[in-house]
Amino acid sequence: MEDLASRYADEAHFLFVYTREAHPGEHYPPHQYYEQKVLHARSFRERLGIGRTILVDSLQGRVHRVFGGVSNMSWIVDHTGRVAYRAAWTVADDIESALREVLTSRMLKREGQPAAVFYREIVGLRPAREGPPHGLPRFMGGDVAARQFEDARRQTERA
Amino acid sequence: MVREAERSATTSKAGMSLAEQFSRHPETDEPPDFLGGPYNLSVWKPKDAEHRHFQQNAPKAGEQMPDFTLPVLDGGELTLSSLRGKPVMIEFGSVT
Repeated sequence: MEDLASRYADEAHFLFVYTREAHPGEHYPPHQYYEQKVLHARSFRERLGIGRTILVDSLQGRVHRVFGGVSNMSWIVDHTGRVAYRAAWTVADDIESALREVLTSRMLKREGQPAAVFYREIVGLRPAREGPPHGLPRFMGGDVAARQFEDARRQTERA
Repeated sequence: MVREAERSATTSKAGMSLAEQFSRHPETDEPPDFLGGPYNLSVWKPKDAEHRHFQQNAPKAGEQMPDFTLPVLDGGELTLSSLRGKPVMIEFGSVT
């Protein structure tokens, strides 16, 4: 996403909203006060090398909850403030393709060319064992987070 | 690093900590729970409930994006609607 953000820096704005921790553990415990959330957001920026503008959501996720509260979701808002794309996971290729389409639609409208709007949906699959980039551990929260994840996964499989 | 357009849209509040800025947006009316539990999870939960909620209740493609104002990590705050005129890509996430 950082690569995409730098390639399209002149044509679009890229924001990152820092939310609750999805896999809290001993390294990144659940947020109990706002300053702690800000410290985690700084740590996030440094460890993952984020160059995009980071917004820090409220302690109780005021903005995150309005948009569904999914851990790694992504949205594109068009030039007029309408939702052009939404996904419950962040897939850079999909986002680039949607972004190009938003930019092309804008050009067609400006040139007064005939264009028709259509709606589409897709259900995607992603590798379930994907970890963070840069050789960082899969569970940044620590061993507690890894154990809890495996326990929850086993319970889900039994159910 | 805040890019120039975003910088100009960012209200400068020199000397004000993020926590102070945030206190301008109190959340006293917000329930402490989200989808049947605390918002700030102490244990990871499978995402089924979140995904259902996202699919059914979050703004949909073609709808007006709800506006919001949040503190920027580098200082100041940003209102989504101040970036109109160019598309805005927003990613949500955390360290873990």
